[in-house]
Amino acid sequence: MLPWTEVDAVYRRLRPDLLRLANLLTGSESMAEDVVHDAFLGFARHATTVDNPDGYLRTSVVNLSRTAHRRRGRAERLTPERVTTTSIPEVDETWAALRRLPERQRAALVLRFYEDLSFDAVGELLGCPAATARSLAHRGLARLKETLR
Amino acid sequence: MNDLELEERVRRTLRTVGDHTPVSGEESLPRYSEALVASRRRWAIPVGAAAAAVALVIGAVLLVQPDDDVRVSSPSSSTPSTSPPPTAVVEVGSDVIMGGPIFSANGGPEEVVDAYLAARFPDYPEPGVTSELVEATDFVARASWATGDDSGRLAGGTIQLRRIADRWTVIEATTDEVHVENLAVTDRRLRALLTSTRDEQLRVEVLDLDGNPLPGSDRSGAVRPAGIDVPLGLDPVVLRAQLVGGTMLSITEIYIDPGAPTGTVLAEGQWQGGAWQILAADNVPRLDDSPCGWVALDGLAQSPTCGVDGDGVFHALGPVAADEDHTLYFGSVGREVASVRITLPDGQAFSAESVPHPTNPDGARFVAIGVPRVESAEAAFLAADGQVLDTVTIQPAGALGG
Repeated sequence: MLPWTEVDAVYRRLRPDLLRLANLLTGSESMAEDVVHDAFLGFARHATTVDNPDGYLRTSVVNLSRTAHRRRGRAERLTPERVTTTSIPEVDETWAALRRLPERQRAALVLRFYEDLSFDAVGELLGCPAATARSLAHRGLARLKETLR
Repeated sequence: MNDLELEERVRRTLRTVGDHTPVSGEESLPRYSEALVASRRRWAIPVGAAAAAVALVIGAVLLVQPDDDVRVSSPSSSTPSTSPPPTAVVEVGSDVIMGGPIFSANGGPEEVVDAYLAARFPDYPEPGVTSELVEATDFVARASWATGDDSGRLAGGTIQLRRIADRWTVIEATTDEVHVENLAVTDRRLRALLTSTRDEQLRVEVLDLDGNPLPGSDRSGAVRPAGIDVPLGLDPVVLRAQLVGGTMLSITEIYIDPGAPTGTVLAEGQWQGGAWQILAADNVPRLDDSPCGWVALDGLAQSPTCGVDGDGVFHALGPVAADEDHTLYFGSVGREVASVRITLPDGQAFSAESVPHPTNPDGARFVAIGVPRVESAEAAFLAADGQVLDTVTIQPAGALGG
């Protein structure tokens, strides 16, 4: 296992960006914290075999976010969700619509438009062909357009 | 709004929300994380919501003897059945290791106790409500609460907490003057007798986890002792009792899991703490597409685990039951794990083979193993060729999810 101080150093460096990504993927600040925490626990246990901590942790966050709702414990069911608000009406309205999208459609949009990834890379992270990733994003945008009309 | 404008709006929204995401605090990994790395497990899915489950056979192997003297019940030699779990009367109540959540909030145990009292007592902190942590470890905590004035203490009780899914959670609250007796789940009915040494009337309710009373469970103004006898579904419930009609504050809440649904019995046997069964269930509401494994002990379902995609970061192995001398561990492991070996500090080793789920053979596998209770032990996750893939330190009261 990597010395804890080194794990901690990676945590300090990457945690903010991963929290932002997890928040966008899960739509919940509290779930994002759990996802990022869990990702780092996994990283700590496998750190000696990880060549690229940034890529490993980003992949972990994407994977854990996909199952975050499924993995939500009863404890979270009893805890009010913390949802990011910006006080910018257009942004808050669009974010609310994004949060209501099916998980994979939202993930495709986040990875494409926030992470600026190609559809090949989006598909790789979501475990589907690039064409499926493109379709997910397209369907997500279509649904958003309907909602925001 | 054309497509390009929509894409730009989405991009702007995501960046703005990203910028507004709180990232302060927790500048270092929380100290408990170091222990969690060694003992982390997931009991994450609220499978108590299960409706009738479709029986599935996945088979299981359980070894409860040291490696040099093993007894094996293999899938081929065990006879799967579709019988329901046993329905023996089981005394239920909160367990500091296994208790389910009644209330949760952000922060440490003191903050959660504070939020809990504020949620239950509308005028909190009046009239003179105080609380104090009397016990706290990284994983469990207990607080006392009291109300009173200059003339002395009027009422009080305890609040039990544990960490579930990295969140401090109230799992039981009691009032000293309210007594819950003969609490048991029998044949899917919750029965209990509530008494009080006070003059006020008792109000007793059985609530679902959203706070709605079960039909027929409201025993407002019950004549004491108040008897409860209500049918349970498959969801966990909370038994709540309060004194009403007076000025004394009180709160008694106990989380009760009614037990596992009917499922295929994969393996069954006895351990020091009683009878156990491993059940498989699928097509269960709120489980999405995760094939699920259960462990049932004397008819009372304990923390279930569900196979996720099999590509998860963690192997989930944790205690589901313990008595003074033994601990029963149950969990799901990655598809590459063929067996789990637990080695005690004195060198004794106990092994159990993992088994796949038939509907998702490439996904997570299930494993169960009972060992003498020790402060800590090492669990090794082994590939089919015996290669050690991973090791963790496990603790009887280690980090338990929700």
